[in-house]
Amino acid sequence: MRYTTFLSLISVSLMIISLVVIGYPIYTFIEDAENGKFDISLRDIRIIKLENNSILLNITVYGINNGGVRITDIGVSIIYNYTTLTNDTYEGSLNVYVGDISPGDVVKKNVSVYIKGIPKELYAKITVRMNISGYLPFKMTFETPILKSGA
Amino acid sequence: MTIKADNELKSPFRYVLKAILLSLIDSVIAYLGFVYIPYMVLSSLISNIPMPHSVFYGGFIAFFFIYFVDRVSSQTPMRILISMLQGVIILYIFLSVLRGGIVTGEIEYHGTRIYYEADIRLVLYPIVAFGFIVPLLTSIVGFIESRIKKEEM
Repeated sequence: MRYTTFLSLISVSLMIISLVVIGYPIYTFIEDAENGKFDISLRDIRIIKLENNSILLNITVYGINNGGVRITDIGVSIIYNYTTLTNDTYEGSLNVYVGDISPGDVVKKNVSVYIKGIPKELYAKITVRMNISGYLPFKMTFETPILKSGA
Repeated sequence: MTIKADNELKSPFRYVLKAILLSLIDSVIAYLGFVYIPYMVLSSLISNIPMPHSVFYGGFIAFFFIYFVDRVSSQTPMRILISMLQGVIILYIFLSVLRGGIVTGEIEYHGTRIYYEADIRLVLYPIVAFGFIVPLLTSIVGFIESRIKKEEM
C-alpha cells in the first residue's frame, strides 16, 4: 500500500469518526425530544387578580431531562400576546435562564408576568436556546395557548 | 524505465486509456471515502440534510478530472495542487450540503409542533482538517522529502 493511500484512509476514518462524534448527540437529543424524555414546559400557571384591573401570572418553567445527553445553557424566551375583554391587544416578552440539565435532572424556575387588563386569550411563542452536550447550539420554537377564551 | 517510456510513446492511446481507467478508480474511491460515506453518516444521524445531486455529480467529475491530470503528469508539485483542489472540492460539496450550517426540522409532541434549528457548523472543522489540511500537508511533506533525497543522491 502506498503511503499516500494509507494516509488518505486514516484521514477518511478520522473524518467519519469526527462526524459521528458531532452528529450522534443531535440524533440522540431529537429522539429524546420526540419521545418526551426532554421537556421544557410552562406549568403551574396561577392567576392572581390585582386591584387596578390587571392580573399577575405566576408560571413555573419546568426543564426535565430523562434522555441520554447533557443539555447546557438553556435559555427560554417567551413572547406573549393577549387580547383583553375590551378587545385591546398587548404584547410582551420575558427571558428565563434555566441553566444546565444533566440526564435525570429536573429544573424549576418561577416567573411572574404582569398583565395589564383582563385577558380573554393569551398565547405564548416560546423559543428555547441550548447547547447539546455543551457544544452544539440548538434552538426550538413552539407556540402554545396559556389562556383560551371560554376556559 | 526506458522500455516503459518507449512503449508509452508507441501507444499513446493505450497510455491515456490506462490513465483514464486508473483515475476513474481513484476518483470513485476518493469520492466514496471523502464525500459519499461521510455524507451518508451525517444524514443518517441528522435528518433533513439536503443532497444537491448536481453538486455531487459535479464533484465526482471534478475528482475524476484532477486525478486524471495527476496520473498523466505524476509530478510532485502537481500532487500538491491536486491535494489542494481535492480539498476545495470536498469543502465546496459540504458547504452546499450544509447551506450555512443550520439544519431545520419539526418534531410533533402531544399535538404541539416544535420547529427546531440545529447548528452543525462544527462538522466543517473535521471536513476542513481531514479533507483539506491533512492531505495537503502530507503531499507537501512528501515533496520536501523527495527534494532532500534528490539532493543527497
